[in-house]
Amino acid sequence: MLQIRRQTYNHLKWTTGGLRKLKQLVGARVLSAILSILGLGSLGQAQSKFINCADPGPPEVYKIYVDEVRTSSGQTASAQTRQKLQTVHRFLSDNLKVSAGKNASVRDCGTRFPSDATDFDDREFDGLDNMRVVLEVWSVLEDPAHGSGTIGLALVPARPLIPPAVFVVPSTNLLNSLRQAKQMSAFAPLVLGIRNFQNKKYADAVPLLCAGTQQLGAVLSGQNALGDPAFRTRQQELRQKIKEITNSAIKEARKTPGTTSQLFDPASDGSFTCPQ
Amino acid sequence: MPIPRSHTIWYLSAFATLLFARPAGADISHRSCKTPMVFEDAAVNVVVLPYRYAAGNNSSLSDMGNRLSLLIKLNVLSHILDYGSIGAVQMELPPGASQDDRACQPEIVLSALLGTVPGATQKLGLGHGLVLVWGLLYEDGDDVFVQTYARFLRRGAEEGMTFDAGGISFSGKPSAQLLAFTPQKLSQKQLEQVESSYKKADFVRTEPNDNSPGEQLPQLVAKCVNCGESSLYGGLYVEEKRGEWIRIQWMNPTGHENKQGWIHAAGGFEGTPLDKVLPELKFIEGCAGYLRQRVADAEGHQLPGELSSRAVAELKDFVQSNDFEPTDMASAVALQLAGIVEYTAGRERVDSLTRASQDFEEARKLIPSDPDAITLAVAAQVSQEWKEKGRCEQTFQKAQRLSAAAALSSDKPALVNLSSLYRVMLKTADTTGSANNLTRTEVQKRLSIVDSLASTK
Repeated sequence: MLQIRRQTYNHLKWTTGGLRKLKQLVGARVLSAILSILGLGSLGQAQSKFINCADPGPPEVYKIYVDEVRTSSGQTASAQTRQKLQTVHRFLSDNLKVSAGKNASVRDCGTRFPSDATDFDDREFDGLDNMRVVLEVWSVLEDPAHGSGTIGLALVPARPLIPPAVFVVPSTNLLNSLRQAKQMSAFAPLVLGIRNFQNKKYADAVPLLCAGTQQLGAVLSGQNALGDPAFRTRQQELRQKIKEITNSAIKEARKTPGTTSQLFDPASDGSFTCPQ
Repeated sequence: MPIPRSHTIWYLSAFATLLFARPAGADISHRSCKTPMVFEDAAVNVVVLPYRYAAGNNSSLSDMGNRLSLLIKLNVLSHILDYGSIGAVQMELPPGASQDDRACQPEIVLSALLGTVPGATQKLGLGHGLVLVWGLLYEDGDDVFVQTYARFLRRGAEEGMTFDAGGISFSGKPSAQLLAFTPQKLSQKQLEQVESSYKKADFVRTEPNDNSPGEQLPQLVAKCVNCGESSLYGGLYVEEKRGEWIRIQWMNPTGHENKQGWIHAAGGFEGTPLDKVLPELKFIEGCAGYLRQRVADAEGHQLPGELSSRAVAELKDFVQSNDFEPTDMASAVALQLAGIVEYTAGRERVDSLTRASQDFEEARKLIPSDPDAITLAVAAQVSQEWKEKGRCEQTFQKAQRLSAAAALSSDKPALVNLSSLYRVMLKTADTTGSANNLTRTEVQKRLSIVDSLASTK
């Protein structure tokens, strides 16, 4: 199937740029629907360096991809290690479901897995964007005996804000740190908010951006702060960007007559922020 | 009260079938998720689904998931008995079912219990409360992590709360009704204690003492099960609680005789209370108390004050023990439920409203961008100040916060709340204002904007 889609893709000679232009022309949703009708719903994914999501979900909803969790060696894992890998996967999936609620569908992507963070290039992001994927999560168990590893995050709509928008969170004990990783679900409202902002749905974007900023703040502070200093520094940069687009989103939303965004009180400098 | 007994009776449900089930006992019927049930007449039901093993099939951990869910339910039940009119049900996959079978998925069970899809042998009564509990188990070497999820609701009722200030009303609701709790680690020793606690709870004894003679319920349940499902619906009735023990009574259907005995329901882990190991159980217990209070309130009754206080204490105990994630949504919701219980327990008393207001404000500080948290906090403050002082203070801050809540939620009730706030302010606002207060003109201008926005909704 993948082979056929690749051939179709080559035959049509649809470049990433072409898709982007088409998307701009007809809109992401319309394009997605057209591709779906044509049976090319996963065309964006066909460009992928790694395999398609096993269960990509319906084209019309926002999605969160949870990829396979693997060992770094790539070798066949023991039964005990496989259990650990499945555990991490299940944990991420279930917590993201609660966090995303009705705003996005969490998909189990089977054996989909990036070989490294650079797999998430412009082409891959564009494909994910076309599929309305807002977040992709994967994990690597580096030392099964001691449990050390990493959790990777591709914040698809955040790429223009803080490129490459791919983050790898190291952990000395992946399972133990899953207690913290519950907070990984903070990224769900954040990326959904950014996506709504990019789609010019400003009023819809603001509550998600505010919820995401609040949760991201909790992730980054206190004795249980997630990740290492480098990760936290990058997330603080993201948080600053989110504050800026929240301000823009509120200002844009206020331009539409009759929206409740007009109720936000500006600060003394005229800017807008989430309630503190 | 819907329960036709002269004294308070609580139901102990089909968990008994599960409690005494042997993994190999294929002939023993369990309360299957495929035919879910609750006690329709009970004001509040706590339903515990099996804690599933996160990594595929592992029969020992799957058994452990059933046993843990049973112990959790027993523990919760023993703590919430005093609320009265409580049902408790444990469910599991039927014998032989694949671990991939979706029958025990919470959304599937919930739909059946609410009657939105067929399949439940008894549905939740209209207006009655439900706490649905489920969880996952994760294995890491010798340790096992336990993560609990809970959803609470009343059938056909919103969890909204109204507050009054000078005849003008405000409405608010908890920030979430579905919660994921922080995973807790069980050591190998604690896992062994799950097993030994389960074995202790596996007996109905003649006296509340682990050394007293007893009999295993499987035989009793097997008889009961052989008599058909209907006899199970009557369940086991809890007649008395004494420390960690509960005295139950049931009808032995084959002998047509009443039997009774004691179950060591809250033995915890070798004397350590289960809710010390799994603090989220405090939330579940407090949540059951919250729902019990809401059901009673809706029926025009009042729970005794000590029961309301107990619910509040359980919820606040949870917040204190949830220090791993101090800004967690679960902590915020626990404070909101505590505040609602305090308020409904003494609607006419300012001190109740003051305590509720403090709880709501504490919750707002945990999740400051949440519109529901803001609304509850501001609405209770306005109501409290009006009752205490006949005016609304710090009007600029309140207007700013409630405006943000209205903007974030974008719904009509939020605009109505904001309109209510300005109308309360207009009752006492002066023309000059101050650093913290809006002038009458400013309030009127804001009210005009809100009314204009509301008219388009």
